[in-house]
Order: sequence, then C-alpha cells, then structure tokens
Amino acid sequence: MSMLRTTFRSAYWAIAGLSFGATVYAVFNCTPDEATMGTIQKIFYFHLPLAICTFLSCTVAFVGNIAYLWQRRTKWDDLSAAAANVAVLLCTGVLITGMIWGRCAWGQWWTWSPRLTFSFLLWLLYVVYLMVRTSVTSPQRRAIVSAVYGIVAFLDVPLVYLSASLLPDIHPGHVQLAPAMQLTLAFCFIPVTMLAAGLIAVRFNLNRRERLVSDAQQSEYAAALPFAAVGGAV
Amino acid sequence: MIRSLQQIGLLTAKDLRIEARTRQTLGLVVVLGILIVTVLGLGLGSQHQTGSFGAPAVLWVAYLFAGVLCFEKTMGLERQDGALAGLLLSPIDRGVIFAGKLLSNLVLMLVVAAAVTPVGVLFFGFDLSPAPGGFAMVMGLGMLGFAAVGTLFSALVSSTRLQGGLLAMVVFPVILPLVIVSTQLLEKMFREGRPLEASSLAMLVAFDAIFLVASWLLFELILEP
Amino acid sequence: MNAGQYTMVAYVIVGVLMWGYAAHLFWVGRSLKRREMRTGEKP
Repeated sequence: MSMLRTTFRSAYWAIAGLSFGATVYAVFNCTPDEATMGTIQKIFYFHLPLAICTFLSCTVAFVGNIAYLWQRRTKWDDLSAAAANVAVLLCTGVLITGMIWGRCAWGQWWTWSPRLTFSFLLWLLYVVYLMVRTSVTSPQRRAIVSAVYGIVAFLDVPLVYLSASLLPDIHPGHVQLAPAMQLTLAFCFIPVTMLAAGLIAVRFNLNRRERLVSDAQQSEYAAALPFAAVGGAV
Repeated sequence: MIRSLQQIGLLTAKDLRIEARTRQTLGLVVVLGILIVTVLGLGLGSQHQTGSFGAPAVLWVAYLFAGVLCFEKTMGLERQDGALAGLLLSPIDRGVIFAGKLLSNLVLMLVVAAAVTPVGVLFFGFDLSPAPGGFAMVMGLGMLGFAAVGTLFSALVSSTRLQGGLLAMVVFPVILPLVIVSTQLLEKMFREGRPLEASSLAMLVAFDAIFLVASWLLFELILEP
Repeated sequence: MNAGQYTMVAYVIVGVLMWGYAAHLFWVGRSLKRREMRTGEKP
C-alpha cells in the first residue's frame, strides 16, 4: 500500500477521533442549557447527526442494490453489505439516545410515538437485511436476494415514515436553537459523518478482500480435487 | 393486453384448481389463523385487557402468519417436479407470472380472511355495525399490499437451500406500515365513530400501488428454476 | 441518576458503539491479512 494512502488513512482517522473528542467537549462545556428540557437536550447534538447519517447509509446501500441488479458486479454487493452494517450501527445509536432522552424528558423508556416507532422499524428493516445475508449460502443467490430485499426495504422507508406519523404523539414540536447551539450542532456533524463514511469504506474494503481470499481458496480446492479423487480411488 | 389478461386468468385458474383438487394449503392455513386468534383471545380478551379494539391487531397477526404459510406453500408447489422450470420456458412474460401468482394468493387470503375474521370479531366482541363496508375495504386493501410483497418474497426465498422462517422475517418489517395505517384507520372509524376519510384511504391505496409496482418490476429479476 | 449522568452515559454508549466497531474492523483486517498471506493472494 502506498505511503500516500497510509498517511491519508491515518490522518483521516486522527481527524475523526480528535473532532469527536472536541465536539463532546464543546457539547458539555460550550453550549448553554436549554430552557425547558435542561441538560438532557444535549443528547440531541449527536442524535440528529446519527439519524441523518443512518439515512445516508441506507441510501448508499440502496444505490449499491440497484447497481448490483443492473450490472451484476460483486463490488456493489460488497458496498451494500458494508453500508447496511453501518446503517444498523448508527440506527442503534439513534434508538439508544432517543430512548434515554425519552426516559429523562418524559419519564418513559418507550412509547409508540412517530419518531421512536420510525427509528425502530428502520432498525428492524436493516437488521433483517443483515440476517438475510447470513441465511443464504450461495454468494450469487445471496447477492440477488439481499439486493431485492434491500430495494423493497428502502422504498418502504417513506411508507414507514408516513404511517408512523399517524400514531399519537406525546413529543412537542421543534425547538428553536440559539446560535451557539446551532454552531455546535453543525460541528457535531463532522465526526459522525467522518466515522460513518470511514466505517463504510473500511468495511467495503474488507468485504472485497474477503471475497478475493475465499475465491482463491475455492480455486485451490477445485484444483486439488482431481488428485484427491485419484488418491481416494487408490 | 387481452392476451396477457387471458394468460393471467389461466395461471390463476391453474393454481386455484390445484388447490381445489389437493386441498393441501387452505385447510392448514385457515386452522392456523383460527388458532392464533384463539390463543390471543384467551390471553388478552378473556380478561378484558384490551377490550374489543384489540381485534384488528389480532386479526392482522393471524393474517400475517397464516398468509406467510400460504405463500410458502403455493410457491412450494412450483418447486415440485420442476413445474417452475416449465413455466419459465414457456413464452409468458414474467410479469404475467407474477400477476397470476398474486391473484391466486389473494383469492386464498380472502378465503382465509372470510373464515378467520368472524372468529376474531366474535371472540373480541368487536362491533362491526357502524361501518362494515369500511372495515372490509381497509382490511382488503391491506391484504392486497401484503399479498404483493408476499408473492415477491416467496419467489425470492423459496429455494430449498434456504432456511425456513426466512419468508416471515423478510415480509413482516416491510408490511408494518400497512398494519399501522389499517389499525389506526380502524381505530378512528370505530372508537371515535368518524367516517372513513378519502385522504386516509388514499394513503392505503398509494402504499398498495407502490408495493404492487415494485414487486411487479422486481419479480423479473429473481426467478430461477 | 440525574439528567446530566444520563446524558454522559448516552455519549459513552455512542462512542463505544462507533469506535468499538472501528476497532473490530481493524482486528478483522488483521486476521484477513494473515489469511491472505497463507493463500498467496498478497506477497
């Protein structure tokens, strides 16, 4: 691997880590407490970027699924798998922060409110995507099955959003943010987005390498088969 | 166009004729649905925990599980004796195969619903008289979307190499918006007594349209003998 | 637990999720590199 790429990667992860630490510091020390909700509102600074990046990861997975069905090249399948993994990860973060917020602000860990229900159903859709991938053994079949499911799942996302909005809501509407809060919120997007994109890229790379290695192993076994047969016959 | 409709009619008739002669799917599925309603009824209704308004949700649970079993079996029919290979070799458009399968699945599901719904309504004391037509329409539309997605996914996962239970796993999360909308609509109609609004019904119709079109288009890509 | 502590727990959980997954991928890459050397994919 070239020097340029290694330095780029190290720099990327260093910046991601440092900005993560810096934003956490900023959230706790530089932002004023919100009037109605108090300290717990600070969860929002990561909750929103996590939610946005979840949706972006789902979009990347969707693009990969469509591209796979169109071109039938394995790299698209690898990309979708990587993006779906990161989407589930980020959505878990959204759910946990949302639940903790609900516990503090409204005293309940769970309600069937629009936002929580939407996050949970999104999480379910993509967890099932990952389960589908582990359930199918043949690589080509797995790619097709997960591509079709991935497309239907992504098309389902707006439907989930619309149907969840029918549910009764106990949460108040939008809160106005002071300028210091807006700045911190914008700043928070940097580490979360860098992490999301970086994790997708790394996972994608690993998937590609893993596919090459197992293909190489398969061809080794296939090459050894005639000799094994001869040995068995003797 | 006429030719496609004729072909769809032929395929649907073939499936229903097989079902009428062998009777392997319908009895199983109806009994499963009734059993599910019974179990939930015993658990919930007998102690007046949810009251009568648990009925739509319980019915949906019964439809979902019974429906998934039904779709698995009807697609399993195609796997026997290489029937699917024969179907694919014939000069029929894949979309027509989808439509034929969808219609036969839908007919079977409607029969199941006709059998299971009275049981559910009875056990939960759900009073349908304010809006029986609205109830039928909402549930019918929900079932249409469910059948579309179920037919697509049953073709997707019907290979014998795959694990069982996969169809239920892939269908349920996708179908939840339909469940949410129909139960919310029915609650508004029956608990609050409001008539069915066109806009809410339009949402259900739009969902169905999206599911139908997406399933139709994707069906082409997944069928293999 | 008061609100401030809950907030900190939330941030810790998010940090562990993201960076834990990054570390996991790093270790997967390591073992993959060993497999690659065995099958001769990479010198």
